[in-house]
Amino acid sequence: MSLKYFDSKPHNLIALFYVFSLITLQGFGGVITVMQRTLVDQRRWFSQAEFLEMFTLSQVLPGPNVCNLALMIGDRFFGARGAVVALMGMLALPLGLILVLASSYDQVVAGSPLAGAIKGMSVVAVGMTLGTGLRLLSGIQTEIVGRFAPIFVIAIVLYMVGYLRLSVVWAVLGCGVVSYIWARRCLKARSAKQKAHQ
Amino acid sequence: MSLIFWATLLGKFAFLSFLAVGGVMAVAPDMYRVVVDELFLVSGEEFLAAVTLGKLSPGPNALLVAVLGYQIAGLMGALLIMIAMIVPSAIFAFYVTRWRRKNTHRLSVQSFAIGASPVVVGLLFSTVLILMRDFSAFPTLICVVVVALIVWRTRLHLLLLMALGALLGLCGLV
Repeated sequence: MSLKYFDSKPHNLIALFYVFSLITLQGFGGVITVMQRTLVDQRRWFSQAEFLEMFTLSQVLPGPNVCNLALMIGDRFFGARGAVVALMGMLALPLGLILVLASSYDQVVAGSPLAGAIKGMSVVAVGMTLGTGLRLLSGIQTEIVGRFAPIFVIAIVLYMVGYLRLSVVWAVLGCGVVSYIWARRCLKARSAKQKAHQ
Repeated sequence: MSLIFWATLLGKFAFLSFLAVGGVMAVAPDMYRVVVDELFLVSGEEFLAAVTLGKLSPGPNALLVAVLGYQIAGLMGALLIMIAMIVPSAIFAFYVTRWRRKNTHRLSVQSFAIGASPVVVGLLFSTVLILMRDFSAFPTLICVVVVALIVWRTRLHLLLLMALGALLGLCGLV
């Protein structure tokens, strides 16, 4: 079972670098699972909803999304320096490791029993991605937008990208706009109601 | 290799990084077109090896471009192509994030945060569906579902799950 930390925020840049290095080195086939677990469940730097909000922004911004996410988190705690340090933590050690692997790929990996192990690990990685999606469901603000609308949006995205394999750009634009308009309506209705109460 | 060559290659990767909405794997087909079909820098097999290494080794999937860089021009190539892939989009992300944080009170910013989150969760599920196509065997599907339930409902250590996966794979069970 995993250890519990509760440090609630990183104390300095070294701690930030250390935590992100630790996260990235455990991230086989999906860093996001480890990041969610470490930062939300163990260290409590963020709530589930805060994390989902940052994760959402990192996903819709262009560029490698876990790198965007690391940068945002670093910036939030230590400004621009934090952003650079978190990004370095994310990349430095795995970059060294993957280059060592790249230089020995032909001799070590191809056609050996290791290939089977890699297959097994990639199966687990897919399961982890699914599990992370299920966990993040609880961060969706159903008290504002209701239950039906998010389920509908998720189903349409799944159909467009997962089944029809359309470009992610279309799903983000198409479903994003619909979902945005709906959220805006709900927020407006909510604040109108609050005003009426006052 | 010439300066013009590097400018072209790095420019193309910087451009691709701006298209990579929802992850680097989203632009993998475009990367293939650039380095294999257009510039003839690596073979199809080498490209596949880079994707596999990106998945197998820990860290962001974006590291697969470092392997491509390494195949093209050694260590220097790996570093340059990595910088091209990460830095321009990171600077953009940095400023967008700051702008948003100063404007959290705006209705549009709040609606965006709430409205986009189901889209993003849907994208995660889509990734799963796309990757599942390579796993047709029944035991493999069971394994995916069991791992998902464990990650969703328990706090079992993730490395333990990975080790179990490697073991099952070694025995040829998944």
